[in-house]
Amino acid sequence: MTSPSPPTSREAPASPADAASRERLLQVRTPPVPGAPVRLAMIGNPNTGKTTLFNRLCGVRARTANFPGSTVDARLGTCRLGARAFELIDLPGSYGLDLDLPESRLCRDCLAGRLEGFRPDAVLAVLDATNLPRNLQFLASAARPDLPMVVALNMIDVAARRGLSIDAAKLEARIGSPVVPISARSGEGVESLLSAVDRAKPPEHPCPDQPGRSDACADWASRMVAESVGGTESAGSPVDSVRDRLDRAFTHPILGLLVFAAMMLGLFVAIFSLASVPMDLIDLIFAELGGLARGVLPPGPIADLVSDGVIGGIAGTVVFLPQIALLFFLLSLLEDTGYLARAAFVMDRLMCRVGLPGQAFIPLLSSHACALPGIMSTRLIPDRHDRLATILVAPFMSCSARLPVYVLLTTLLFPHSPLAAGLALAGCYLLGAVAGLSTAWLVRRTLLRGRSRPMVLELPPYRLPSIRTALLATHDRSMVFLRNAGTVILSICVVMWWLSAYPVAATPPEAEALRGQATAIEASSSPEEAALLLAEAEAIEQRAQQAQSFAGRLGRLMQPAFAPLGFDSNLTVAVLTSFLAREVFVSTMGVLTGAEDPGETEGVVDAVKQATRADGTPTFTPATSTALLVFFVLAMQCLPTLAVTRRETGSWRWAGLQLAWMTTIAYAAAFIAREAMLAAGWT
Amino acid sequence: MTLPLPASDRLPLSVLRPGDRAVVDLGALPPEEARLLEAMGLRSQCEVRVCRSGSPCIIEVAQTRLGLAASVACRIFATPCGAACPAVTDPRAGDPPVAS
Repeated sequence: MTSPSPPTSREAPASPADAASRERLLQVRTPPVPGAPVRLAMIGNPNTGKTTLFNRLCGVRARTANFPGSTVDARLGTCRLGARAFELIDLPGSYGLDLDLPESRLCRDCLAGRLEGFRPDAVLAVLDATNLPRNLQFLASAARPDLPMVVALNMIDVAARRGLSIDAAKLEARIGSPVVPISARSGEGVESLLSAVDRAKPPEHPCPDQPGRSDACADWASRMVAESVGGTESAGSPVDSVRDRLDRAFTHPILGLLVFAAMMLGLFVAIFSLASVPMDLIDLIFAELGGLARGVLPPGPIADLVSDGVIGGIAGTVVFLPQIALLFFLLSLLEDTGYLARAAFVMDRLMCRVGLPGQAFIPLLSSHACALPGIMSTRLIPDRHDRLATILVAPFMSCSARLPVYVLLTTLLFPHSPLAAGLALAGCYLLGAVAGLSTAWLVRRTLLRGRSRPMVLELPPYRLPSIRTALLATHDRSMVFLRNAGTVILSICVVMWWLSAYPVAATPPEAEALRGQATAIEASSSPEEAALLLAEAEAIEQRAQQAQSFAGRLGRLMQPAFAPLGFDSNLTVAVLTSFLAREVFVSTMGVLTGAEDPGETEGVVDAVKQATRADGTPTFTPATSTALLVFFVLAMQCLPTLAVTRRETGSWRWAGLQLAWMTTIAYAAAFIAREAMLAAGWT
Repeated sequence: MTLPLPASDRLPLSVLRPGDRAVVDLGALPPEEARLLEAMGLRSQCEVRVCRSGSPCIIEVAQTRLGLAASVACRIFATPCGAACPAVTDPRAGDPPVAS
């Protein structure tokens, strides 16, 4: 492989006319360390099959990498050909390296050797053989005189089926770098491609960086095509006719919306129905692991930490993995068919009214299942401002973890009217969506002001999706999620657990008495009654622990701040502890109010109805319940979501803003709701 | 926003009908948008075929199909050419095919 000498930067030498210097650049490169892998940077237009080729070469030996200062990511992977090892970076698809877009900047930085941790030895340019004029124009603009290149002429089989014949040898002679026809889908030519890396040479540099470069690159590409491509692809063929009809249907203002609604309905029904079984299984496995840890470790703080803090903390997050994996698998399939690009246009008509692009609809819809995959799927959105705005508002969408809280509170508010309770439940979802879209409208006119990238999308041909590509994408996204769960989220969970578990409260005398009674009754063969007494004793102990813990003390300390919303100290503790995960609220209320089975909503409803404040008045008046419901609809009560926001935005600043804004909005709206209820006489 | 007035034989791309062929001019677009479209294969003086009019406006240029929001399509001016299109974007029309 030819390569430059190892300068600190890949900028062109100061005297390009110097023949000796140029000759040195073209020397065959030997890896600096024998056996060291050859580092290849993969570039290409979107939809050229670049990622399919990367997946074929690297399979699961790949990971997503973020680079400082970049809002787009790339994938790193390794592969071998015989004894030769390769390290590849799959850079994001780009239409031109000289564009002022995040993906173009990342490609530029990588080729210039400015990416931390990956300095390429050569470029692997992936071209779509069915669309050579534009792809060669891209290649011309990406050519660097100091970086060897190999050209993969992908989809050569599709080009042949369309009647195109491409003279690869002629193209190679004119470009100056090896050109290898391949089919990434079938694997044809892939080994030859890796073998050709040894022959890699810097390509011709047909369009120097000067005014009119774009036209020069286009002219060069046209000449290359004219000289090396034969055959014609007839316009107006039956395939085009079908494609035209499908495009018209999928982007139609009404029919397109109906198709999109049906697709999304199918997607979410599949996610909810298929994910429930593995989610239950994960719950069961972690419960068993927790029990096992308690059985193996001696009783004490270490056993508590491992069982409740570490295992419990991981379980609370990993339980969402099936939903996340399914969502990304199905989205990847849909994207591969070419449908999602059409759907983005349908939704753009609606979303642009609040300053969001059409691509934002899927992340927002996904957030109704769980904000974690919703935020992660904002990677579909190319514009940084659009993406940040979508991430900021995604947690306003009512996720499935809020549902138990909604059910509890709407049942309390309307105990004898299922219709009114149902309408209130629907209102919760509507309120969340309205708050999210209003926030998007606001941030796009203030913090994230500026023109969005114009809605211009390439509409790829319709094709059968690749299961392998979808599986690899799912594996990749799942690993990102698990790494996050195993680091940031786990650390936060352990801290929250410690706050609620320490200091350990002494067993209350009434709990000890109940345990004594249970032992006596069990001895006189009444195990059911004994079990009830034990459960009651455990609830008393948990209440004492909640009250004595640091979290409990914090709750009492914070109670005056929540007093305007009508929350007493118990409610304040429940709200604060549910910051770990919203669904914890129901079980915490169960514990605090002494429900027989705090895990079941029905039991908790009965218990909280009877709950009273220190002065004997009911805790859950209609006004307080309404304020609490509004607070839960709008508040950012989810630590894992905050951690994922930090990861996806690359900064705690956006996560902090999200937390502050949502909490402020929730508090203000809850206060207004309570005052309105009080003014209307609903005390 | 004030749009430049089109010449008498030029129309906004968004008003052409499906099946129409036209030669386009990106001169009224902001430079950054024009550069993106050029990189995507849509250049001034190239011929396009309209696949869907309205919003989005779907056009075919060479082997690429592009969807354009109405706000973009209405700022691209097009001169309908029908059967008289010069096919300037099909470089294969020039030289005879060469088998690989």
